[in-house]
Amino acid sequence: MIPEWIPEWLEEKDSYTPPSDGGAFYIRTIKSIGAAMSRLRIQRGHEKKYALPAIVKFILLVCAILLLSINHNGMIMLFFAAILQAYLCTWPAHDIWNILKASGAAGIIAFILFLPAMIILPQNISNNLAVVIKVFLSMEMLSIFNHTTQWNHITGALKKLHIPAIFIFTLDITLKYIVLLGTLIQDLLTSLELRSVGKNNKKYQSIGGVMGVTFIRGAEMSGEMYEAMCCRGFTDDYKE
Amino acid sequence: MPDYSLEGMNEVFAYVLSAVIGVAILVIIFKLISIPFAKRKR
Repeated sequence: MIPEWIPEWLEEKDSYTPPSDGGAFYIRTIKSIGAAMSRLRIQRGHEKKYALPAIVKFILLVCAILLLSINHNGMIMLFFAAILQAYLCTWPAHDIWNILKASGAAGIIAFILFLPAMIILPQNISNNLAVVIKVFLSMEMLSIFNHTTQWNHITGALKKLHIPAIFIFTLDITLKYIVLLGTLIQDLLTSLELRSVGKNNKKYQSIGGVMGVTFIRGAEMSGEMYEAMCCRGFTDDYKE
Repeated sequence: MPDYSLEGMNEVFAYVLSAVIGVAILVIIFKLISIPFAKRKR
């Protein structure tokens, strides 16, 4: 039932502006780290129906990166660049964007690292630029491999190369749990942000609480994963 | 085409490779430009 009149205190206008909260910088920092972690998906790509076996691709990738990085010949670099761009330009636009984001970031970081050397010794500039281009091309190859290969096929390929199961296991679980814990931190900080209006004088306590909850959840998750894997009969060994 | 030779390598080959890279990069750039327009249509 709706009353016909509204009480007076409801009609009054409130002007409440919460006091601005200065040092929320690290909360935002941690939140952006969490967001970056949760965005790091292991596999968002596609595997074509008639793809090469993952182990062949893996060996080819390692050989190509080695050849590219050891070689001093500009022709090889040009050849790699031509093949990679020609292959990449046949892809759908969104996948190209994902690949170029990763490799472009690596290239820019390499460029920034080499910038002082290029300024101090301008006669070596072509050499330094060659290294930057090599970094970019290697990252491009790696992202293409990652994008076109399913994660479980990669672990299978690693197993076929007789890499000990403990390494594969650590890699596998780490990558999966980085995503999970990143999502968790992000959610916790979002809820903290929603609940704290105005000035929060106990920021360090809240941050400590968030970290503590994340730690406890991590410990719980590891216990749950151990039990789940026991139930499924995991014998510490990966299938080839 | 002496401008295309790299460290005394075959310049015809280098010329062709440069052409391939150029065309591919142009295709990639135009595909990337098309992303925002494709989104708007949906």
